[in-house]
Order: sequence, then structure tokens, then C-alpha cells
Amino acid sequence: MKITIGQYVPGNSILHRADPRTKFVLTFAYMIAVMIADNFAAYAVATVFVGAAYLCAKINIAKILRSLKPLIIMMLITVTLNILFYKGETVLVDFWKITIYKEGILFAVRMLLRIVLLVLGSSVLMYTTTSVMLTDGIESLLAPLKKIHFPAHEIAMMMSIALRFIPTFVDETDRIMKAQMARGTDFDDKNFIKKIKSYIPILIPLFISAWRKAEDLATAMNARCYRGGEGRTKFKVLKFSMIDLLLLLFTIILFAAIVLLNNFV
Amino acid sequence: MSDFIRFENVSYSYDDNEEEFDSKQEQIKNLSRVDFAVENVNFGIKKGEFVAIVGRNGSGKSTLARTMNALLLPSEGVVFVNDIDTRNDEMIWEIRSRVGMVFQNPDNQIIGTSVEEDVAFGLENIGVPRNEMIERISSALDVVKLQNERKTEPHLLSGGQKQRCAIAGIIAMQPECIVLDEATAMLDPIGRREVINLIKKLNKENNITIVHITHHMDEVSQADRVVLIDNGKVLADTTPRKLFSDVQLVKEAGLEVPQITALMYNLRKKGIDVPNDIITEEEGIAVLSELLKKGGEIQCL
Amino acid sequence: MPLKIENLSHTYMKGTPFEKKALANINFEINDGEFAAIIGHTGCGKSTLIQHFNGLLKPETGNIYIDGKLMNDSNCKEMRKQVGLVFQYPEYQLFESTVYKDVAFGIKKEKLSADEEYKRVADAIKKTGLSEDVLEKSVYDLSGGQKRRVAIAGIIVMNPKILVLDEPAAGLDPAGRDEILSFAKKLRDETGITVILVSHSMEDVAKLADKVIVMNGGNIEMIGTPKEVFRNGKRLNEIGLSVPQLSAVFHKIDEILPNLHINTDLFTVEEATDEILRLLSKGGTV
Repeated sequence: MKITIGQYVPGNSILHRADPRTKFVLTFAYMIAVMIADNFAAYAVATVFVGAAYLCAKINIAKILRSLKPLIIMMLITVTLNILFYKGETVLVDFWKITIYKEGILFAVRMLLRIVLLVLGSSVLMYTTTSVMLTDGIESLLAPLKKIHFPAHEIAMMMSIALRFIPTFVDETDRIMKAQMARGTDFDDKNFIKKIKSYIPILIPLFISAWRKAEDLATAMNARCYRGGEGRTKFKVLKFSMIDLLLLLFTIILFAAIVLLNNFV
Repeated sequence: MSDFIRFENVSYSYDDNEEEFDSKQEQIKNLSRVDFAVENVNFGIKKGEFVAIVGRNGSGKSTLARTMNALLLPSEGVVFVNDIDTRNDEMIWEIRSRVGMVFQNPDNQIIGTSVEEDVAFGLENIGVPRNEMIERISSALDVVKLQNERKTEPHLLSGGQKQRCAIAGIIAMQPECIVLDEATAMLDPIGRREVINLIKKLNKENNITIVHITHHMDEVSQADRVVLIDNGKVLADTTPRKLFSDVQLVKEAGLEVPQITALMYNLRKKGIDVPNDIITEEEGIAVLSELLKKGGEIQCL
Repeated sequence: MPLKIENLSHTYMKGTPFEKKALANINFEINDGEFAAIIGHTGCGKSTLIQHFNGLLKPETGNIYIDGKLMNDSNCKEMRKQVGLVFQYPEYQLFESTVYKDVAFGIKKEKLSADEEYKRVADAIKKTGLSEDVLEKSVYDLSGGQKRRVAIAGIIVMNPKILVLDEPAAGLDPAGRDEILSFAKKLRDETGITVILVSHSMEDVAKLADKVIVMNGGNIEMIGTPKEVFRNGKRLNEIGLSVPQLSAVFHKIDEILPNLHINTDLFTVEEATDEILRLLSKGGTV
């Protein structure tokens, strides 16, 4: 059993090597651009942009589609509701109490495109950035907030410890589950209440173990002179390179293109 | 030479420290029946010594260890590290960077998301500049032979590697002393060997003081000196050789002697003249083959 | 109850880039009432192997017979009751508020009368060497060694016919180690249960086991009595294992004094003492 958070796909593309902060900014700008885009030309630009990103990161198409799978129901509901309830001018179908307008269909398609583009775009960030880099990026971007006593260092430290312990807890869960199965616990029970109950013997030991780990870890951190973010130097530095400059340039072009298309097409 | 770590009448009680909120009166009442985890301990550890601390589970070894870098402060008495009183709040980080500590559970002490990041953790805390940090990490990883695992995630390491990673994190801080609190208890024989060889090397080559708390008697025989703790008190403070020769005492303290020492003890009980301070296989082989050779010669005559 | 393993293989994460062969064509038999030991360094496949004994892992190929019956998907849960598997550091699985409740957890499904249940639980706890007094205590008031015995009692209470102990002495002090191991030995001697012990301590294995199974790289490297296995000191060293200290010493003496014909098949201090005394009395110094 292995869980990969963020589904990072190892690689060495420009996007993989870029500074996580750049990628955050880029993703953010892209998402805004997609939100404000309101005609098909603008969507086309965004599609080309996101397609180029996937090509560049060398992530195969199957993976992209799989990432959309959990959203299919949500997309279907959105599309159906929009088609059924949008009030437009050009009537296409008028049957019993249902009236479908041309504008409604167009609007639904636009919504659909918007969702797909948003998911695909933000997934690029997850596919090309390790969770550790994400944490570093967040800490660095939040750093200015330290001035107003926002615990940026603490939040980043917590995230990074959580990431470090995920595999340990996965192993531990597996072990405790097997140990309780050896004592006759049955996880295949069809009865919902019984099923929930059968997880108690796993959750309690897991919780106790987490508690003990936290205590041990706090002691170990103390012993290694940890005393919060103040006066701390950093081993890992995020470096802004030519790649990042290039990517930011692209972002600006994308943004400009979408704004222009919105207004003039 | 003065002691690097010195215990002066040190006692520690968990009750005392957990019941801070109790009323004074109750504390006084409690004091008469306080259960000391460590009671009136006096001894010193010299710079460069390799000291083993042994004793059964719950004897107070770990508590004692934690007073050595101010993780715990004595309820009574004083612990000095390099002549600094560990109760001195201002010197606490100074003390902790001089006395590093490796704990029992390899999984619960690695903080970094990769080996090199974990080694960096302590250095970041004490504010070492980045350039120096890189050098120190690299040489620490060389010492513990984890250079090839630099980028590896901790959960992919073996138990022995995890403990070596923890040790690297400590030696990068250039301490004068490393305390290993049952750091080999959860390892397999190969992992144990890795850790023991490493701490012996650090002791010999880098003159780092080693305090090794363990249940494994074969590890004790590697030390210069052994302190036997039972019920929070020091029962013996001597060389491994002398300690093991007192088979009775060791057994009463819930421990065991190496098989070869036990064999010699049995033979002596049967009236055979063999030394009582044999602790290694090599010594045992020499003594026994000499003994048997003599026996053989007599038969030939 | 006898256990037979036939052509057992297992691969982790088959069909992924992380594919790893954990067991390759394992064959052996453990007889009814036997005290068997499995040794091998970490990663040799021991843990994977023992999880097959009670069906927690399904064989990729090969068969497992318990009491001559083939284990399959439909009877696996039934079979699981025959084989009690105690994992490493079993005290981490305790979760109930009292010792009694935790030990009784495994027999709740049997719907016994209160008296009967109490009898089973008390019996199990006594078998592990603890007294009945602990039953109403909280698990968290016990020492590490006691907790471990409570966890083992939680398996014993189900009356398994085969007991598998994965490093039951790990992390305990010498006295605690002796207590746990002598309990296993006593249990076997008194009830005739088959015991399978996974251990890193060659001394313990030599002292307790009737049969030793040596594993290396997912294969069975050797199988035999302790005497037979520990004769191959050199090979054991090569695969990261060792021989009990005294047996190493006696082998060395045999090399130095070959004419003496010293008996090297011994592991305990008592056996060694007797052998030296025998040789000396033959020689005439005593």
C-alpha cells in the first residue's frame, strides 16, 4: 500500500525545475485568467497554454484524463442544470415543461470547459512539484506575513513533518490492521454500523501511537536545539532562475491575451 | 582532568514535576513518599570516555540520560556539563549542542523529509550559515557512510541507517559528547553492529565522549567503563571486565553476562582454576585451549 | 497442529516498477507440537512468510496446509483461528480500557457465557505468566513487558493450535527476554501447541528450537536441527547471521586442538561446562 500525495510525477522538465513560488504565481494567474475568460477564443488560448504545459512536463494523456474521473458526476450535474434552467432567447427544444435555449447549451459548454481547464491547470502544479517543494514555496510566499505575526515558519514546519510521517503512518495502519485481523476482526462486514465499529480497534492504537510519536519527536527536536523560527538559518534555498523569468513572461502573455480576447472578439 | 559531565547528589522524581499545580501542603505530604526515578546519583564522565549504562527496564537509565542535556532538570542535586549547571536557562542551547542525544525509536526522531535535510535540521536551529552547513553535512554523511543516501526519504532507510542518520545530524553540530538512549534496542544484529562500530570510531578518532545505554551485554564489553543502575541508584561503577566477573550481582540486577563469562563462572564453581574476568570470545578460546592442552598432556604422560 | 508449505512464492507490487520478489518457491513442514525457529536478516522474507500462515497474505503460487487441510479463500477465516500470529511489538495493538476487555476481544464473536469467557481470559493471562489481578487494571498502568504479555494473551485466548511469535523479545531487557521465551517453551511443553518463533538471537534459537529454518533473500537457505544448522558457521556469517557464542568458541578450540575431538554441537552454558569437565576428567587434571 503506497499513497503518493499530490501525485508527483518525477521528471526533469522546465516545469519540474522551476521555483515552486513561480509555479504558485503562475497557477494563480492562470486560474484567474480562466475565470475571467468569457469567450471561446479565450478558452482556446488557455487550452493551448495548458496543453503546452503538459507536453513540456512530459506527462501522459492517460494520467490527465484519470485526474478528471472523480469530477465527472459534478460536471454532468453542472451541465444538466445549466441546460435545463438557463433562460435565453433562441429556443431549441420546447417539450412539456422543459425549454432548452441555445444560449443555455453554450453557457453549459463554457462552464464545462472552465472546470476542465481549472482542474488541468492546477494539476500541473501538483504533477511537477514534490510535496516538500510545495511546502517550501508556501513558507517563502507567506514569509512577508511574519511581520504581522503570522506563524509562517510554524505552518511550514507542521506541513513538512506531516509529509515526513505519512509513509510511517501508512505502514503503521497496515500493521495494526493485520494485527487486529489476526485477533478475528473482520473488515468485510456488510453491516454499516458493524463496519464502523470494526475500525475502533485500529483507530485507538493509531491515535495512541501518533500521540507517542509526537511526544518523542518533540523531545528529539528539543534535544537538537529547536526553538522556533527565530535566528534559524535555512539549508534549502529557493533560487530564481532564467526558467522562472521565462515562465513569468509566458504568464503575462497569457493574461494579456485573454484580456484582449475578452474585449475585442 | 576534570569531568565533562558530573552528577552531584542527583535525584529526579516524575511525581514532583507533574504535580506542580498541587498545593504546597500536598507537596510536602507527598515528599515523604516520593518515588525517585533517579536517587542520589554521584559520578563523573571524563572527556573522551566510552561509558555504558546498564540496568533493567524502569531502572532509571533513560531518566538519568535525559538530565545530561537538560531535557530533564534534577529535582535535587546538580548536573554539570563542562562545568555549566544544566539549570542555567541561558546556557541550555549551548549544553544541547555539546551533548547530542540519539533515542530508541529510529522512526520517531527523524524530522527532515530527506537524509540531508534531517542532518541540516540541527544546524539550521543553531544558525549555522548555509555555506558552512553544506560542508558540515557532507563530512557528517561521510563519517556515517550515508553519502549515497543523501536524497533518500527517511522511511526508505533500514533501522541501522536511520540511527546513523540521526547520529550524522548530531555530529554535524560538532558535539563533545553523544548520549545513546537505548539506540540499538530496536535494531537487528546488522544494524546494531553498524551503530556500535560507528560510535567506537567516533570515540577513538574524533575523541567524542560516548554514553551508551543498552541491554545488550556484548555492546557493554566494548566500553571503557560501565555504570550499573538499579532502582534509580548506582549499584556499580567499574570496568566491564570487573562487572561481569561478579555474575551474582549482574543477575540480581536483571541482566546477564556473556555466555563465555558464565562458562568460566561455572567452571570456577567446580573448582577449576580459570580466570573470572574473561569477557571476549578470543580470551575464552585462549584460556580454554590452554586448559585442555594441559589436560591432554597429563593424559599422555 | 502440523503446518506444511508447498512451493510458496510471493511478489510485492506485481506488475509495477516497484515489483519485488519476497518469497521464491518455499517448501517446508513443521510437525505437530514442534518448536520451530525462523532466522534470517531483515528483509529476507520472514515477515512475508509468517503472514501467509494465517492467510493475511494470499500465496501468489503454492499451497499452505494446516493440519493437512489446504487453505483457500473460503476457509481462510476459519483457518485463521487455528494459527495465532503475534506481531512484533504487539503491545501497540492494545486498545481497550482494561486488560480483561482487551484479552477478551478475540473471543467476543464466540458469544460465550460470562463465566466461560472469564475462565478463558483468566486462563490465557495466567499462561503468559501474569496473575489474575491485572485483569481489571488499565493497560496503561502496566510495564512494557507486561503489556506485551497481555497482547500475547489476547492471541492465546482464541486457543490457537499453532502460535507464531515474531521477535517476541525485541526491546526487552535480559530478564524480560527470558520470561517471554520461557513462557513460550512452557506453553509448548504443557499444551503441545506448535510454536514458530522468529528471532535474531542465535542463543535463544539454539536453546529453544527443535527445528531451525534459515532464510536468505526470499529463499530457504538451510533447514534442520540447531546442531545441523549451526555447524555451518561460515555460511551463516556470509548471509549476515552468526552462531551462538559458545558454539563459535568450541569450533575454534576444535581447530586448535583437533586431536581432542571436542564436541562442538553445544549452545548452552550448561552443555559447555559439562563438555569441558568431561574432557578434563578424561585428561586427568580433575
